[in-house]
Amino acid sequence: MDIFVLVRGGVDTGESITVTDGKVNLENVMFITNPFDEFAIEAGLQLKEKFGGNVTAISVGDKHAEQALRNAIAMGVDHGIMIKRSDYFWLGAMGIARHLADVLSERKFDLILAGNISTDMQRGGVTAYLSAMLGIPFVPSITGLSVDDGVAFVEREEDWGKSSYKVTLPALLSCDKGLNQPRLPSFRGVMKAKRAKLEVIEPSELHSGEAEVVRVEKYARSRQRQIFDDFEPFFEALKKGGVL
Amino acid sequence: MAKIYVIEEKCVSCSICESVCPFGAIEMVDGIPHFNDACTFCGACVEECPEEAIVIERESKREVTGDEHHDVWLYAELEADSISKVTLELLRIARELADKLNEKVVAVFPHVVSDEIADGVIKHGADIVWMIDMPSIKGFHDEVVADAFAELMRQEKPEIFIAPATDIGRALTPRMAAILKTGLTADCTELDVDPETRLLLQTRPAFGGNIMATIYTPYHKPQMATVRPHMVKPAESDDGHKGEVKKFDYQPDPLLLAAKAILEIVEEEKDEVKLEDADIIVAGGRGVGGPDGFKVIYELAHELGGAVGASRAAVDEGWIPYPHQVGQTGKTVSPKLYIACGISGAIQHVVGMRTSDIIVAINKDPMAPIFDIADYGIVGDLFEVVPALTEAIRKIKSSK
Repeated sequence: MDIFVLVRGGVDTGESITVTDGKVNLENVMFITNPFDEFAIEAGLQLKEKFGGNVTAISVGDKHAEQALRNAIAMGVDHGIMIKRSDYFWLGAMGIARHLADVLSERKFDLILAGNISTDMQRGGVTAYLSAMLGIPFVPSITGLSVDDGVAFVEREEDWGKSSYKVTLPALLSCDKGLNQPRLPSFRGVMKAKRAKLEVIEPSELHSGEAEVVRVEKYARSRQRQIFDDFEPFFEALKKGGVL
Repeated sequence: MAKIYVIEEKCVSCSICESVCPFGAIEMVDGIPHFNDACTFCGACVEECPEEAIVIERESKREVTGDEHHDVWLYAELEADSISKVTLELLRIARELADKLNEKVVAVFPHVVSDEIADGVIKHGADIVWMIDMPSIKGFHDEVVADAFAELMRQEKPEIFIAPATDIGRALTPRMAAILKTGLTADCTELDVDPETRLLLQTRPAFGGNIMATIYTPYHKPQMATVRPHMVKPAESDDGHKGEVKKFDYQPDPLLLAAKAILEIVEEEKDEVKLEDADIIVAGGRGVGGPDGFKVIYELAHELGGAVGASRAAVDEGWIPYPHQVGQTGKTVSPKLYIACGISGAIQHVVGMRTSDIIVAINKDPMAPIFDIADYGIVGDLFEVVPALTEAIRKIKSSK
């Protein structure tokens, strides 16, 4: 099976993000592989272990994309492709999907796997745009996956319970927590990732994003912080504050 | 109309713009380019100018897509056979936007609804109710529903389309936006519109709620957004409000159905209240100690008519299933009231709930960071405090 996994170098949302002169300060912020993408990487690796073939990680961006690609290789992915776009961060989901579609429409694959959503931007849009651009079926937020003879059987948690779907390949699936337990990079993997040569693609056309940022503000909300040691005054404060 | 002009201080009279203009619209006069009526504002000169001295101002973005887009649309849904609360919230938002733009409010159901329901939606502010009539398909086939909406929108050309930021809205809207080749801003907490430019100003949290970003999508219509539940009050009913009901016949493409077929739907006994729609969430963390410990959490949630959330620690221990997880790799929620029980307040949890209206923390450890973001807190054993709280609320209720 030939599998592509979409990965994103995203901001670690555990970091405190600041705004300077109306711009988000991304200079000294930690970037990590988007946590949900690791479920997709793991799913790809498990399918490869079962059916053989190749798993390729692909990312739009620059140094943070490279970091995410090398992390994927350290986990066991065979190749990494970086579509170079230094201004990827504020490019909308549609712009990123267009770049991915330009490259992936020229490649052979059975399956594209992606994380459910990016934890920093929380859009979850790239997958939907990409599947529509490539004209392949898409199931978001899967928590179960098996493949048999050109067909994927997937499960998904929905408001009303669990649904199972049968999807013809090639298809795009986004992976939610609960699908698997992502492996940690092995020592050999880390060494391999350091040396691995990435395929770097300079896009011939710079797609524009659909969205423009008008303004950004630090979310700040002052909390009352009325902390009690005893139940009675605590409960009275809740009543007085109109909480109950 | 767009405007094109030269920043004369920047211009070095190189004439590159004159030579690259595909329309012969540029003429150098005294070393400065002048633009004649042949200019189509294509931007070729702007791109080629080595000094970035040429500026095109596209005053009204509407000319990009034309003026044919009208009205504010919303995704309407039922819950237990009546109009869902989030639909009523969207009706309020849509009404406000439409009034500023002097447009109509259009509510669209993905299925046929009764006259009473359609009438109810009209009384709550809709001018037009569309019902999509499609053959019944097992389950909720998001690609088919998204395709049906996209087909109707292609025909009717809405200016704005909003949907709830719930599981369904999140599954449907990116697909619709992709088919319509337009933008989408997910999870907005506030929407406004600029009556001049007619642009939808979409405010949403980013970076785990660290930042509020306001975004617009100037080049595409409809402008699409999903809105988090309970950002506004539900629309009120006005018996005098009149509107019309329309039906759209839709036949799904057999290829869509063949490529992705729903095999089975296992309806599980779910909690009464969905986490993302809940006004009140009672959440448990490591301090809950085990699956049995969630009993007191459930009891309080039940008494308050709320939903049960959990920290990653509690989910990873297997005490409660993943759909309850709030935080970085779980759900992002912003209820009116969030009661954190035995949750230390690690940043990975906080990013999922910090936009809650009121936060109450119950924790044994007075140093727990959750107290820093709490409006009310009590340092104590949750197994004493939570049942006491449940009991006290029960008493208030029964005395009323």
